[in-house]
Amino acid sequence: MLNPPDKGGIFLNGENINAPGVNLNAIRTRIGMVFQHFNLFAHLKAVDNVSIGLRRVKGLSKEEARAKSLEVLQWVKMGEWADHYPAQLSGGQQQRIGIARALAMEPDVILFDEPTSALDPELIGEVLQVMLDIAKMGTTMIVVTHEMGFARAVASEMIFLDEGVVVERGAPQHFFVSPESDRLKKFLKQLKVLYGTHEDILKFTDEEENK
Amino acid sequence: MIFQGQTNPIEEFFTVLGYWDRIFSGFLSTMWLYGWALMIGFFFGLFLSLLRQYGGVVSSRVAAAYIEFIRGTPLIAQLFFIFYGLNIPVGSWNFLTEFKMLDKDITFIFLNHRVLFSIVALSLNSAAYQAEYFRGSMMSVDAGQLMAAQSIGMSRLSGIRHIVLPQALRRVIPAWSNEAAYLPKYTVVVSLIGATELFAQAKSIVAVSFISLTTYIIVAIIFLITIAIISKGLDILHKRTGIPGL
Repeated sequence: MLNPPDKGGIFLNGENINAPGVNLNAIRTRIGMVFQHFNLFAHLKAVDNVSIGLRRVKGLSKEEARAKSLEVLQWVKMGEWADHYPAQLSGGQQQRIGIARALAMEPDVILFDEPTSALDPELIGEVLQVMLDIAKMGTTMIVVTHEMGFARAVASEMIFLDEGVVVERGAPQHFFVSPESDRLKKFLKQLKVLYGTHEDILKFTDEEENK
Repeated sequence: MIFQGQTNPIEEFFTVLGYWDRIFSGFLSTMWLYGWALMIGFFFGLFLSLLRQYGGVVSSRVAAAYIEFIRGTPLIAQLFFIFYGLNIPVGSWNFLTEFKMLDKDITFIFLNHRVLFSIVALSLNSAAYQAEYFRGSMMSVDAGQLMAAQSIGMSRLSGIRHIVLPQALRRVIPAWSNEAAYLPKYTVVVSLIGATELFAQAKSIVAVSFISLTTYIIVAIIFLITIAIISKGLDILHKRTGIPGL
């Protein structure tokens, strides 16, 4: 809802939030957002990045907001970095603060816009781990991602988009094993060329674990 | 000079310094005008830049028109227009203080109609220039910052106030120091409506001592030192307010 759509309906818990007269600011507190390029507030320490929403939007006192923010930062394993500024942190650390910022507002759903695509391959893992933890906690997440392995492991439903149109949707099992559309088949074939089949990948990980 | 004999520059220098009470009172006056104009210009300029950058279609156009009009016309014309052209009947009055320093009486005028119109004209002028510095630095703050603020439910206004402005005001300092360094020199024009600032006092010294070059050199040196101190101060402020890691 940062760029309100021209038409159509968007439903959050059964309520159309793209209707006239809806308070967009109130809606936005219920929808968390994690950005591709983190978009952390550059002039604020990690803990203040998380607490500013609690203070300015939810009206918590400075101390309450700080205590809660530290708790959430602990949760994304950034507790020791609470007093650092974004520019002093790595991409993976920044993205985990971005997740903490969204999480602290206790939204109904968190949107992730390619959260790992601006990161070094080595840093992707720490961010995915945090997202995995959130998934286990039961928070609804809508993730746009290129991390097929992660999607397969975490998603309850996958949607394949091409040119802005939903081409295929279904459970990961259906998605990878018995795709219906040609477009998705082509996509999976290309993945295979790059990384091998998903069975190969799984076998490979199993071997790794057995070692 | 034709009527004067050859005089010793050192002697001239000390003769002019003998009028230090006028120089000092003029300097106070210049700094007084400068301080007010810079401060009022800061807040009005900030307001203008917010209107121009984030305002609606009408308000941003109005702000842009004001800024372009002020920047496109001479300060002296603006000053004369406000002082003579508007014909505002304020009468003649003085709020002043007199104090003794060493053996001399010094008069410092806080406010009279000349000082008032000078401050108004300088502020309105400076605001337009400052607004453009502010707008430049606001534009340099990544659009994602405001978007992120809105993503956690902050209103646009709150996002501008708490996220964009703190960053923009830090960034603007080096460019803004331009205006802070220009403005003391701009105040010189108010001597033309009879406000007794440093340059007006210099002219009065020339009138009684017939020493012009040395007097103006001393005034120039005073400006030079003052502005050097202002620049250095802003430099330090810029470093102190820097964001760690950036």
